Amino acid sequence: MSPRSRTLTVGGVLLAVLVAGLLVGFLALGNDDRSSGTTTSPPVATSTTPSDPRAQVEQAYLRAWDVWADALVKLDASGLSESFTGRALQLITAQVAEQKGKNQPVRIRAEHNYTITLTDAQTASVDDRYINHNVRLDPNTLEPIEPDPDNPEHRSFTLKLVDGTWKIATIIEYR
Amino acid sequence: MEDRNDHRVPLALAFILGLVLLAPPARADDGPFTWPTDVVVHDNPNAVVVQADQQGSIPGTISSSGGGSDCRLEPNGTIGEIFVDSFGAQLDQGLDPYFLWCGNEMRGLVWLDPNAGGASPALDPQTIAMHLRDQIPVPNADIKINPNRGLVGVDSWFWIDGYNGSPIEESTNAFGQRVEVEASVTRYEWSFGDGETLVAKTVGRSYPHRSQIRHVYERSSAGLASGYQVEVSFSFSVRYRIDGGRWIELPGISRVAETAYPVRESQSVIQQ
Repeated sequence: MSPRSRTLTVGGVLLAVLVAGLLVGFLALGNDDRSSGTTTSPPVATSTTPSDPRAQVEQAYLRAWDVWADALVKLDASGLSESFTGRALQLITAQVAEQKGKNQPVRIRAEHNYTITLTDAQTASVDDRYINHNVRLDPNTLEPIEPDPDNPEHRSFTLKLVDGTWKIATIIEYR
Repeated sequence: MEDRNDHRVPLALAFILGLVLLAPPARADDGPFTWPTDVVVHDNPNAVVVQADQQGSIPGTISSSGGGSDCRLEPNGTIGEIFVDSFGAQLDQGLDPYFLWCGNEMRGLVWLDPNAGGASPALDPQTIAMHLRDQIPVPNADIKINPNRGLVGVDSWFWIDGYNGSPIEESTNAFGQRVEVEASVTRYEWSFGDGETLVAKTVGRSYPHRSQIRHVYERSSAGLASGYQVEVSFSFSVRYRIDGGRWIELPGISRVAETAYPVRESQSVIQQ
């Protein structure tokens, strides 16, 4: 084997190792669904429902953030009833309508830090001290038009089990 | 080389200036975009105050017409399972969960420090709100009547002196926050002492104007020590808000002013 071909072989092996490492890394990050709790938009559809009530509530809660985020990026409130009910649904529908009236989408991002409490079979509470990274967007470019607020906030979300689906019914703000 | 560097500086400045000019306007006035809320819990070292917007009708939830006045926090008795995430800090911080009730509905859980000054005994927001309401300075209004001594069968005009009916506003810095209280008279209930009553929306008009609040006595007050006992009850609607937030209705209050009003009978005597 000539020095040139040996160099190519070694280089090829190193390249393969690098690609394999990157692939493994991506897969590992993809499986770590509790690494940050940061919500993203658009939402990712979930096809399975956990049997553990606590896991159901957690999934529904994070899903609600995604639904809210999706509505605010698309300025479309039609999907909100999937995750919200009662007064919370009214308030958030009005909020999306207001943003639509201003033609101003919003990107929703948060770092969660929550406690889940099941008060009874039909009611749960998620107390979340999250970091708010929400930013308003330019409607044409969908680029942020303001800096990341990076603001700590504290909310308590009450979820009700409505026809077998956990939905946010009340949003309590701490000041 | 120096010439080229000399050109780079203004070019860089022009580039930065261009970026600044082309940048979208800042949204500093709007504040961070966040969740809309219908219940706000003010937690501070002195007390816990709950604000809840219950206006409007939500099927199956709140039937109260007021906002927040019937909300209360109750220490947890039997609570369900609490799942604390690895980074959940509520229990670590010594916080206890309290049920937030508005009317007959449990609206949610709030986590509070039971050892914070005044928190436990003062948790009932109704008590705090009522205390605020009772501090409203209501003016001492007097009843004025024309004529000074009434005549049977002749209109007497009544009005309130010392208060023009405008909302009474008061603010304080209770709880370390700005608390504004506003009381507005919704109606004046007059009782003329002879069993007749009248409900008015205004304080009436002072003499020599003709007041809308009038009454004709059919009998003299003879036999009554000082005359008919005339009373007017002010019914106030009261509301308050904290730090410029939503107005929260409180149960109304009333104040009573009274005076004695002699009424005589004048008869013509025909002499032959």
